[in-house]
Amino acid sequence: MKSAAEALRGDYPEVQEISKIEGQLLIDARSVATTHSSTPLGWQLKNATAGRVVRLAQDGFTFSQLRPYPSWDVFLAEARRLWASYASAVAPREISRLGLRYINRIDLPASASLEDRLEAPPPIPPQVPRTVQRFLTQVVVYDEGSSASATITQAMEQTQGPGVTPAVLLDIDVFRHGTWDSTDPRIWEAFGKFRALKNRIFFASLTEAAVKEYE
Amino acid sequence: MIPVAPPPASPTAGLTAPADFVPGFSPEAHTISGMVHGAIEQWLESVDVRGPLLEALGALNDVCQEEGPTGRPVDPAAWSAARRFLMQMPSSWPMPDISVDADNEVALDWDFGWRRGMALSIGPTGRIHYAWTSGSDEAHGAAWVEHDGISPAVAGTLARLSEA
Repeated sequence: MKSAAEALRGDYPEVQEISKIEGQLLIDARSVATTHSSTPLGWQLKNATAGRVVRLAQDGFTFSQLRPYPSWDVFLAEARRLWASYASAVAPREISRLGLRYINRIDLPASASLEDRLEAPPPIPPQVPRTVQRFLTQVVVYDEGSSASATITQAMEQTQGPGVTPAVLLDIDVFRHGTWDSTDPRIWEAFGKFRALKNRIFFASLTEAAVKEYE
Repeated sequence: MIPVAPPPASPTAGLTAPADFVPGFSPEAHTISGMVHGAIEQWLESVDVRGPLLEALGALNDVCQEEGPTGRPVDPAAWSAARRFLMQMPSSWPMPDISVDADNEVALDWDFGWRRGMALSIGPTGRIHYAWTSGSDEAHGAAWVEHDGISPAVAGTLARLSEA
């Protein structure tokens, strides 16, 4: 894994080792004892200018793209390049989960209500006060066409202050469990289907007005 | 009407799943992760709802602190994977007996009566090895501790054995 991290250092100059640190406090009637342990998990590499983060770990590979967002083709090509580097260094026995996650921030102007932006805002019974301070909803749905599931999370924080615009976060995490070889070309076909499902969920989740503002 | 049905090859997930959120790095990802974990913590605070889980997590901590059959404590990564597995179990499932096996992995055992039960071990990589017996039938297999639920192979077997 370290060799893969070293090979990518040219494009991802910020390299950080990832460890899992566990601590425990043991209390009985007469004493208090502490234990802790640290387990190396892998490496996280970052290119801050390009907004890219790669996580090469024992339990999986993740490629994240933050702002500025390139096209899907550019994103996928980089993901494939990074995966090839990780797979050749780690030789994973099998892949058990594929996932594609998009997190969108939908600004809520002062005059807008949740219904103005979301097709499925959290329902509030008529007798209950209607001023929402924050909310979190999450559903997991299954799509037979792509054999994929999607975790759809809508959240709104309680935020206020000068220059702070309230916003709803729409998090769409499309995933599928199975068994794939690390060189299986169906992996990349699956990501294309995941993206199509993500788009379907995204446009169905927002009102027309919200989509217009988002574009 | 919104139909509710488990998809064919999807993990089984209880109230406290996903125990670990798939990582994200944006401020928005951190916000959602914090809110989801906050919701999970609320479930865990309810002793009525998650009492058996809290007991199981306590038992897991106890056995992992002791020296196992190899004379060493359990690898923290195996503890972590077993904890994730327990956290993702539906609240309707019976909790297993928890111990450490001869390979220093966390062992979970369900006994559903005479010649009916399931045993699985969880190692530091999150690999699960399981075996089950039901009358004259028996089989074994392997799966992974997933991020968002319990693998269909393990969940399906447990459901079948507990209902038989």
